[in-house]
Amino acid sequence: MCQMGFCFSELKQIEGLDLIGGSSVRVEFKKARLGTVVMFLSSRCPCSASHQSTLDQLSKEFGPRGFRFVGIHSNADEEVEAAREHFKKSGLAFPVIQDKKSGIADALGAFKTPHVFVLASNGEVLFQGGVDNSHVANAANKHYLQEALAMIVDGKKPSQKEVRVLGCEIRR
Amino acid sequence: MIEFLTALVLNGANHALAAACCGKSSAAPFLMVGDDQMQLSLGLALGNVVAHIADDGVPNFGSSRNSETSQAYKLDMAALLSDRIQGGFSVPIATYAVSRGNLQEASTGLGDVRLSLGYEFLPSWSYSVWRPQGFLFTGLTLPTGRSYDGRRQVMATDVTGTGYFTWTVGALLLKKWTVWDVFLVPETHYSFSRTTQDLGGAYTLSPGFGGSIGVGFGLSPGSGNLRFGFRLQPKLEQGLEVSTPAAAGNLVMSAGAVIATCDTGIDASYMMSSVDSVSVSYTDQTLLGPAMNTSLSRSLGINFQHRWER
Repeated sequence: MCQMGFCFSELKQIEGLDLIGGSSVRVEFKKARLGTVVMFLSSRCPCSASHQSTLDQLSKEFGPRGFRFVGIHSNADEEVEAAREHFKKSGLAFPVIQDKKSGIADALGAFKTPHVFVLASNGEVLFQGGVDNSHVANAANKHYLQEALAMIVDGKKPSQKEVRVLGCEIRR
Repeated sequence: MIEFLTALVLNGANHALAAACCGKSSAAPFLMVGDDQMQLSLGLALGNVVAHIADDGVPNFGSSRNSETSQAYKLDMAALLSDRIQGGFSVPIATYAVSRGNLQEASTGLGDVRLSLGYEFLPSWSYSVWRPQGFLFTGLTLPTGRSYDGRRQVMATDVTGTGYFTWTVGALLLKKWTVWDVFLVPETHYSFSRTTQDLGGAYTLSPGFGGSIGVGFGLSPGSGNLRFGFRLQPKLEQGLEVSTPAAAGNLVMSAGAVIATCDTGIDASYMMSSVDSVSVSYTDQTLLGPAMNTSLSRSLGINFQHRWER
């Protein structure tokens, strides 16, 4: 939903089974001081796998500075059990919620993996798009998500609210 | 006839789409529609004129003792100039062979090189059920091939180009839903007039406008690496006007008749890896109309594509 140049998610919270921890998790956007970083990930897509360690590092760097990080697994063509195994092995520092029937992906308009959204406590979409400008994390020379988070920490709006997302399409 | 075969084989027989995986498909091989920074396509098209058709729209399938065949290789290259702008070129090389009774003739030469620019005006940066991905493109075809009036061979097998600078503008719209995809490619082009001394005097040749609308759909079973496609492309060309040069009063000697054809095509593509794909296509102009004042061909194409990801 977009009004007067600002886009808002209809979601106020994300709730579901954490594939890593095995328990139900609820992430309320209003509880994050600076914002919630929602990351759509795949257990099969090489582009997604390539960015997992980058996202893990960002969560460790920006988590303590006021952001809540949450991964979402929406791909209907990936077995839940295989996804659980993949994300457990990955050792990510944030939960990865299983998105039943791609409802969270549809609500946010997530297109590919990895696709990231930074949401303010009121649901405003501060940033959305790719983690960086490459399919392969170590080949990137523009780090969009990191720049957006750093600007928000500095009390500014991200200079780019939307960027191209690279990766594999989410099968709904 | 050879002029027409040139146009078909060099432009019409390479319209295969890669498998739908990862959005790396192309209804126009000179455009990158995936998330790539560079793309190379190598194509081979084999064509055969099977009928000639006048303005009555009734095809004459001719004698089995006569044949007009072509074998054309084409290199297409495209590269990103910025996030949403890309540039590219196409280089065709063609061999034509004509056999009429006991007479046979064959020639090989460079075709018309094409330069192109594309702009992604509808990027897919978020999911939408209905919004397509859209490109605007423009191209300049250079008369690097030998034209009909500049031919040296008796049966014109050395004609590999039109002889005109042609400017093209068009759009490509693509949409994919799980295993299905559809595309629409409307384009129009204008070929600039030129003067020739090779018709027994000085004449101005004015081909004028033309256009086509390509439309098609594809199916990728199981959202896998294989895709089957179907496409239609009706084409219309303004007739070639022959006149005396301005200094001689622009007297119209011949106002050519409108040329119409309709390509019907099927194709199959396979993604060998995330960056390589191969496709085969079959194009037939004898199945659907309207068609008039031209030759009707059937052609078989094979195309290999390699991409460099961003």
